Amino acid sequence: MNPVKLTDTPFLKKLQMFSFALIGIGAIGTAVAFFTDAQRALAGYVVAFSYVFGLGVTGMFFSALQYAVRAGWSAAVRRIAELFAESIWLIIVGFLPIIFGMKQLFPWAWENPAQWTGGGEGYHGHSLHLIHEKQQDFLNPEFFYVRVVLYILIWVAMYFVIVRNSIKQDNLPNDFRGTRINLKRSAPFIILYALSTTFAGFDLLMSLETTWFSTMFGVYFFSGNFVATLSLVGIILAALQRGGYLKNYLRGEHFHDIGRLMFAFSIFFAYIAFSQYMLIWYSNIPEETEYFLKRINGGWEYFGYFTVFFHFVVPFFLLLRQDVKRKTGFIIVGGLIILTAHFIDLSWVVLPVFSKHLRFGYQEICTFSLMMGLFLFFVASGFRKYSAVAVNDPYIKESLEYSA
Amino acid sequence: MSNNQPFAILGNFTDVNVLFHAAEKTRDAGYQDFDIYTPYPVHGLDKAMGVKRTILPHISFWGGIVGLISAVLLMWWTGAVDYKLSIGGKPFFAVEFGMPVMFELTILLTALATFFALWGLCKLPRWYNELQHDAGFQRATDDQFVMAIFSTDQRFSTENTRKFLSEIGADDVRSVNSGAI
Repeated sequence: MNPVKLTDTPFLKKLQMFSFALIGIGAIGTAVAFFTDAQRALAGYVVAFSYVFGLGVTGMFFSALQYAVRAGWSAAVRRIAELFAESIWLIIVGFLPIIFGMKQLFPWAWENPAQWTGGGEGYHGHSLHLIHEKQQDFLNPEFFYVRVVLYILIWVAMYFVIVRNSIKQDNLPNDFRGTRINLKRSAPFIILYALSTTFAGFDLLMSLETTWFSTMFGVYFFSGNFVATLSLVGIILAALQRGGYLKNYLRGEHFHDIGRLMFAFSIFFAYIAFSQYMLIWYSNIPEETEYFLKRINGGWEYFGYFTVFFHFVVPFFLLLRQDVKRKTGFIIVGGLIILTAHFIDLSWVVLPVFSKHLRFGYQEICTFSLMMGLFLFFVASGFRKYSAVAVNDPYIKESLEYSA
Repeated sequence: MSNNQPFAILGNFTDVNVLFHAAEKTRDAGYQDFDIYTPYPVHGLDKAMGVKRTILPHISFWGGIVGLISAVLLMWWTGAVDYKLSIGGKPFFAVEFGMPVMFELTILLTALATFFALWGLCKLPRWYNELQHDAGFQRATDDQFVMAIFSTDQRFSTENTRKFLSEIGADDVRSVNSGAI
């Protein structure tokens, strides 16, 4: 089958224009925010960067997962997730602002963590000093650099093996070497993905709250990323289907499956988020409750309520019915709700560290807009260069004919 | 025993494509009370037969709602009304610690409602089936597809239904009497 190139289609033009608009608005807002309050802009940047690298890396995980389980249905939809990984260069460069702004962001980056300024007077618990001494072996700038390099190496390797092998096949009919390699390599890469995103979540998000720790945090970060990735895949597929670009490849069955995954993983996210909350609520230990105390006071509680409703309750009832999951309109609406809720959720994790009272304005939205615009720009450049469907995948025929 | 009225008329098919078209023709001819027995799941056959979507999901949903409400009432009434015990200074009732029980009971009653509703909708348990002694019918567990049009259907008439089944490509068209052993 011939590759499905979207070059010069209205869809691609719209996507590019949209990404340029986001970048334009975001760049101006971020610059203004950075020169007025650098720390606040960096905090917003951590949210935006975590969001974007979550989408990009989890796109690769989605593809590796399809190889690992030998999934037939997903051959026609897998490529969209793979193209998210085109943002790999953005992810690598994206670590730089965090490294340069380390002393602004992380208390542990200081010799004496009490020197860290943020969040207001006496903001960190009195136990900061004691805990910091025990954490120093892990949370210190040098080891942080080593870990960042390791994450980047893992993700670049994953990109060059999983994504590249899949893309190479587009122009090589009846040559299944790429698939054979990916079938073998996907499982080890899933393990590496699990470790790298868990620890990246610890480093970028959880260590902001230096004295607080949760063993659930890695899977909490993953579950949010995964459902956001599925939602974006669903939205792009639905847009492509509505434009009539993938008429020969997609049917209601594919949207049904994507919708089911979105539904299932929004429940999974709620399950994980609540498990983390309930154990801390019940044991009621000061160094653990500090995290939630900040987040259910000072106006931040509305972010929590928003997450509960729009990350779980609304998607649950919206995507419950079988016929609804097959309609592109509902996939788009559900996906946008989940993507928004994921942004609010990450903001709820990060921003209360830097401000006791609700502080959310153009600064946070503009850094997010900038990073999301750059991400979509890389995805659009992927669509320009590569086929939108893995047309020579050995499973593609199964994907076209299967029924759920 | 109704005289001369058989329980059902059976026809066997060997080709799945012929079966598909036969199912569509039977549906379009207006038959509603008919069934097809296949040795393996044939995707899309339910659409070809015009089978209505099951109400099972709705029963599951309301089973889950009942489970959720009963869990809330159970936790609230036992903890905060009937027998108050202060444990570790925790409130007598709170959504936080009630949630695991709500979750479990929602799932449990969803599962039980689904399980028993499925049995009911499938008319199980059933110890005897009129078709089970028909030698041709037993091929449905091996290598052939069997279509049965039941005499309870409004359009059923022994002569015409037999003719109809032959026309749509069934082999070995035959009547099965109820209680015939």
